[in-house]
Amino acid sequence: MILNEFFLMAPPPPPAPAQPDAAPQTKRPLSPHLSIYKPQLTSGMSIFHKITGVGMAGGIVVLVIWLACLSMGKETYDQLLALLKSPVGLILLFGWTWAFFYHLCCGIRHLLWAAGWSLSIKAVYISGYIALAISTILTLGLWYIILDIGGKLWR
Amino acid sequence: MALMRSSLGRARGLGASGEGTSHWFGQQIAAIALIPLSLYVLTTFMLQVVLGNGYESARVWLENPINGIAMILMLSVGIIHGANGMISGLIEDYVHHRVLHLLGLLAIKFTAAVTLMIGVLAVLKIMLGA
Repeated sequence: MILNEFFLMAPPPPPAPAQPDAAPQTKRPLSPHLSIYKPQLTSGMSIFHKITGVGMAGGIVVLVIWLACLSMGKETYDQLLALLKSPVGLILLFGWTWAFFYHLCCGIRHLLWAAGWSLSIKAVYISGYIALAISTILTLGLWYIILDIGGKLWR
Repeated sequence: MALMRSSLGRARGLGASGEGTSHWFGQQIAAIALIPLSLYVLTTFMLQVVLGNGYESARVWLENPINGIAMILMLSVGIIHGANGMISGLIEDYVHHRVLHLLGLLAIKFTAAVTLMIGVLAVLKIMLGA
């Protein structure tokens, strides 16, 4: 009885604040809401798609520097090649190779989505794992060729 | 459901970027073109840099018109795709400060133009035997 009265007498929830049209509506939440997102394969791959894209923007600048040095003569070209073949240069080139193959595989996934294919959650996860696997295999395969044949050439 | 957009924004109907789907469609077309172009150019570039016999072999490779044209096409489409991607994927998504937004747009567009110009001129110089 007392409980009943207590609940009956509970104050009503405060009225929702009125939303006048003139309210500052620019304070709306903007996507992507990364801070409240649980990490998932899908969001992680989306973020990596952006990071690898930005990384390749740096890579294409290096490609243009390579072209410019190649057009300027043997001495300039050899100097650049020594830089690119240094341990740091090789690590960067390996990173760009992986970024390239990853962005390529993910990009094909995006094109399939744009065509309306593989849009269920299950299909998105399957294609995600396939893209990760293929990009890793292609990167390791290309670098196996480079290091194996390159090692024999340099020996 | 709370109204998340201003009345003016709803009337314009153009979303956060201020334009329609043409940007997205252009990126898809560039992406399709880049699948064969980048696969061919970048794998052969890697092989030239790390495996090639140095200056002479790289020049001979680029003097071949097929390789030179593929390189110019890859640079043009790739740099445009990259600049557009960074404008929508980085600047429009994350940089909401008006001045930084504008500076970011300028930096990306100017860098893209200069990089593309240098790259195409270098390829042409080599292809024309200069």
